[in-house]
Amino acid sequence: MAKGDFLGEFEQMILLAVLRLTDAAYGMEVRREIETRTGRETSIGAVYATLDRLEFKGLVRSREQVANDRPRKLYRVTAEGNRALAATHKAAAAMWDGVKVPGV
Amino acid sequence: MSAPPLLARQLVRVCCPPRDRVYVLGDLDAEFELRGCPAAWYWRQAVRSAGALVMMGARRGDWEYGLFAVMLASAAPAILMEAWWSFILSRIPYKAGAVRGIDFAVLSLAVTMVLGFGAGVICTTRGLLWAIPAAWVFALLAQTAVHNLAPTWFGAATLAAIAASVTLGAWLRRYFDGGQLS
Repeated sequence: MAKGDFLGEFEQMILLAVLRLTDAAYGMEVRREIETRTGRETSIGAVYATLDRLEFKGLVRSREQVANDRPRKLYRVTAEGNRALAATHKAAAAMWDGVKVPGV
Repeated sequence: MSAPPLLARQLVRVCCPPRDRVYVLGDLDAEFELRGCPAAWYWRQAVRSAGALVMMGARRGDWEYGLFAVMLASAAPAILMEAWWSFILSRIPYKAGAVRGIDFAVLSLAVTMVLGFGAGVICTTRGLLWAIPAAWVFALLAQTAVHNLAPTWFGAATLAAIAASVTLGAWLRRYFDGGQLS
């Protein structure tokens, strides 16, 4: 696998949040999902910037919708995004295999 | 229900690329209401989001960011070097014979090239057609503004340095975006 095929930590979190949220994967919901699940306070700017970068790479696509009486962008993970997630997960699992870390 | 802090909202407005503004501000305002209008939270979000939003616009090569980078790259060296030279002169008791030597010119060109490279990275190759003429105009305006009567050779070297560094920056950006150096 080439170096650029693996995702960064935050990119992974964003993609996983988008997958979890399915039809409600808007910017605010993605931010809240990451904050709720990881306890990590994330800025809305960082979320949108990462989503924009992922869209540029072809790993997500966006579509404008009107929800709650205002325009919103709904994101979906593409097939390429799923492949990148799978590759990253596989690589991480291979590195974790046989490693014992206290607390894990 | 109180409104979001005006200054914090303006900060996000200014930093966010225009085509994303409605989404970002909409989400921020919606969550502000959901949380019971905490001003401190809104401020934290605004300050933490500013940098990422500016980088998003710069990465996409949105023209507003390119124009700002070009202005900074071309006008700033003239203004900065003038300010620096004035500072040096203020420290010299006897100013007779204090002329700007070749080292001043080299330093000024070096600063121009570094900033020009950064502007090229932001403008991308798509923006080169307008970025280089705009940079030349800003450079000449800045030199006029600081009354810097530069020799013709220095003016020409500055314009050439701007063109070369902006082009190099844009080309390297294209190379990295294509993934050819990964």
